[in-house]
Amino acid sequence: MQILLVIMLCVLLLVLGCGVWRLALGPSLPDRILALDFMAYAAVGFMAVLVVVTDEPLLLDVAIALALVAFLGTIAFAHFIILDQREDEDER
Amino acid sequence: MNVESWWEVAALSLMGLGCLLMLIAAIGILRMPDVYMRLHSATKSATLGVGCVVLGVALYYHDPSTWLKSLLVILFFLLTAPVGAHMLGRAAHRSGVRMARETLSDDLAQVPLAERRRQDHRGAVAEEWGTEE
Repeated sequence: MQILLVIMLCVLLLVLGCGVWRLALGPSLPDRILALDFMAYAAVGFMAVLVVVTDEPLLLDVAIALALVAFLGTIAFAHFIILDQREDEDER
Repeated sequence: MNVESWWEVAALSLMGLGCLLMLIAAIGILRMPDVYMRLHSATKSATLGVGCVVLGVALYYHDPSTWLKSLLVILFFLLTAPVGAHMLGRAAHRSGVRMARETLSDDLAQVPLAERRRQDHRGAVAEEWGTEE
């Protein structure tokens, strides 16, 4: 059972690595924001597996807080992209 | 491998399924040709994957407070993931991110710019106060 949990943690680390790869590679700004959002998802999954591994249910609170911050960050970034676009259109 | 009860088996298989879904989402993020397709992959399958993992944790612990927190996490993801993805896709389209060459139709491109600006938040506020146009 421990081995299964460790395999799950490794898979989630790999998923996080894919997110980092897309963050470095992403051709456009929305790509990078999407990668950040996805990495937060992977981190929440990682925390959830870590709850079972370390037998510490309090970590679920950390997962909740992380999900909240990730959502607000995504919304704020998208909003700033739209505001930037509007200013560009106004200058033209 | 010794497991004590049936719900531990169920919990572990749910968590494994969730990890597999996250892996599928990661492959989609790396391989999809387009921001919009990547959004599709990252939002849907990642939500399902995180939901499965957290549900597995709740099933593993089997006590009321963990159930409550886990259901809270799942509900939160179900509420916020579509909103975030919609905002991001809209921002990408507005800032002119190109679609993949295989894309067949783009309905939003046929809406004229003035109409789009009227639907925009700041445009709506400005119109209400009579400061624009």
